[in-house]
Amino acid sequence: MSAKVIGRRILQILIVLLGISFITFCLIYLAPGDPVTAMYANSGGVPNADVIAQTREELGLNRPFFVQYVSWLNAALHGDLGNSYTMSMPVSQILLSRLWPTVKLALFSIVLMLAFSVPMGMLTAVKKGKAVDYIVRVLTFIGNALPSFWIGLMLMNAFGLKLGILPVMSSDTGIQNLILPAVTLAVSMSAAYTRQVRAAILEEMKQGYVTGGKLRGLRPRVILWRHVFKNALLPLVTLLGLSFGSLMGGTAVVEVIFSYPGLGNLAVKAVTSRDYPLIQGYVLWTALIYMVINLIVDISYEYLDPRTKARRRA
Amino acid sequence: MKKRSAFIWKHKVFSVLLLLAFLILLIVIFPEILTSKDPNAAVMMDALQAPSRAHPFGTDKLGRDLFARVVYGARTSVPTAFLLVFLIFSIGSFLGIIAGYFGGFIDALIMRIADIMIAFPGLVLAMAIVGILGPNLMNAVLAIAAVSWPKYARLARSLVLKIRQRDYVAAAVLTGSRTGYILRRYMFRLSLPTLIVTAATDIGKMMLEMAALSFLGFGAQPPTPEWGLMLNEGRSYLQIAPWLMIYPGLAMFLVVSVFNLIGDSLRDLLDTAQEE
Repeated sequence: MSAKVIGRRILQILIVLLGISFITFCLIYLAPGDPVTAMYANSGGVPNADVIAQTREELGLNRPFFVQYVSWLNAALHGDLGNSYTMSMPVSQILLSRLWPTVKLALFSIVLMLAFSVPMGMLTAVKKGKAVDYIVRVLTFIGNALPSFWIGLMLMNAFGLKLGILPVMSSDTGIQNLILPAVTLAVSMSAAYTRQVRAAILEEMKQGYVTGGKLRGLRPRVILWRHVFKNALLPLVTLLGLSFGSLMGGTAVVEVIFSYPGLGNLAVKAVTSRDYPLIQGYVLWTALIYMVINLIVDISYEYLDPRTKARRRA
Repeated sequence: MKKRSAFIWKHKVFSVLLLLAFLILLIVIFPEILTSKDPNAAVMMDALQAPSRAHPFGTDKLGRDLFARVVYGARTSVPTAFLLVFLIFSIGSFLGIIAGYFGGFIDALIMRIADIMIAFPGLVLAMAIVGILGPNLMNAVLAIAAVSWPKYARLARSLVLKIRQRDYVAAAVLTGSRTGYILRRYMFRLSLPTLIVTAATDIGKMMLEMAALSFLGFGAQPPTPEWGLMLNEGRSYLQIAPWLMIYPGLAMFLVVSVFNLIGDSLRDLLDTAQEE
């Protein structure tokens, strides 16, 4: 990918972020309920009208909408997303402290998912129409129709409460605490991804070079791993990047179930207590992470598929 | 009549699935068929009872009959999922068709907004929207609709771009057909089948997303019988009253399965119809 294309993509990311910040800012501006009252309610006090008016003045809430937005944007560009109403700490600092646990959980669950769906997808593609294919298809269908939070609670019941081998509450981020939330996320993602791997491999096996390889007397295993898998990798990496989006949403639900101290759990608390700066910061961060990951995915095409490079030169 | 029975015979699986969907709708409209109990009648004496003859699925922490709540839960989940799919289907297809047909500035505007929405983890923004507007079922529907329509807009736009190239569209333009007529008669009608298949496969997905929001407390509010909310309420009794988890989960699984299977076989049906 040339520098020009990357530059254009980064510009696009900035536009999207600007759009999202504007939408969330509008929504917060229009939201029912006064943020100042909410702020004081959270800290437990009931202020009188003067104090409220003064705080409004201090926070600049009396100024016109666009003035407020521009000054907020200016601060945001300097890394200042304001202070959380409930925790009276800078939003960026809170988010930063919760980022690593969520990234760890997401990466761990992606590894688990890949460990299941890539071999299973390939197996079912090779054994298309055989018993294994049907069994795995039924399993992925079931996984697809079950809510992830239900799977999480059932796993918690089985391994945490009945067998007692894994912690029920994942309040710190050690590997033991990571297993149940990560498995929960991996189960629901694997269901979709196994099907996608299967479809991608089947599509690739239709290609002429597979027949060619067979005619040349190559062993099926060599054809599958050396050629088919390598070629099917491209769509699979794209889908992986996209599934990261649902993962960011999915972690919220799973983090709540297991009381895992990540971004998602934080966001749910922020939403419940109407901590607007925190909600906004979370939304922007997630969007940024998601889009940067997809940019990296697109850049990686270059290395995965030399054809894209050749095509551009031509 | 003969034609109809031939269709049923040829598409046995699909017909059975449609029958199941019809039964689900019947339960949604007339839950009284299955249970005579009131899903909100709390009898504290009967709290957290295991499944028995009087309460086939047991009772919850307020002594409400779980079977009745699960049955009435369909009444919340199924219509909201339908409403949601209808909303994103109509908004998305409308905007997509307009964008694809007219192109230029309108296209750029609509598709950039769609990009903003699609470049985004759906549940995250939905959570933020509900958090700002306040949690209730209607806001949850709006929030998920706001982040889900771009898929239809993109699909409709790509379909329209193809249809626009056809000769009969050029003929219609030449003979002076009005734009509204062309949009309705050609663009909408020809992209409809593909859009409907997508909508059908989305019903189950939307049901799960609504349930996830309700589970987090951002959708249906107590005492509404809703499966996601019921799972959240039953969560703290996981160990002593597992039936509070098992039955709402199973109900959701069954209903989502039926709609997912209908979506799948509708796609197969359409694919073979196109090949013929």
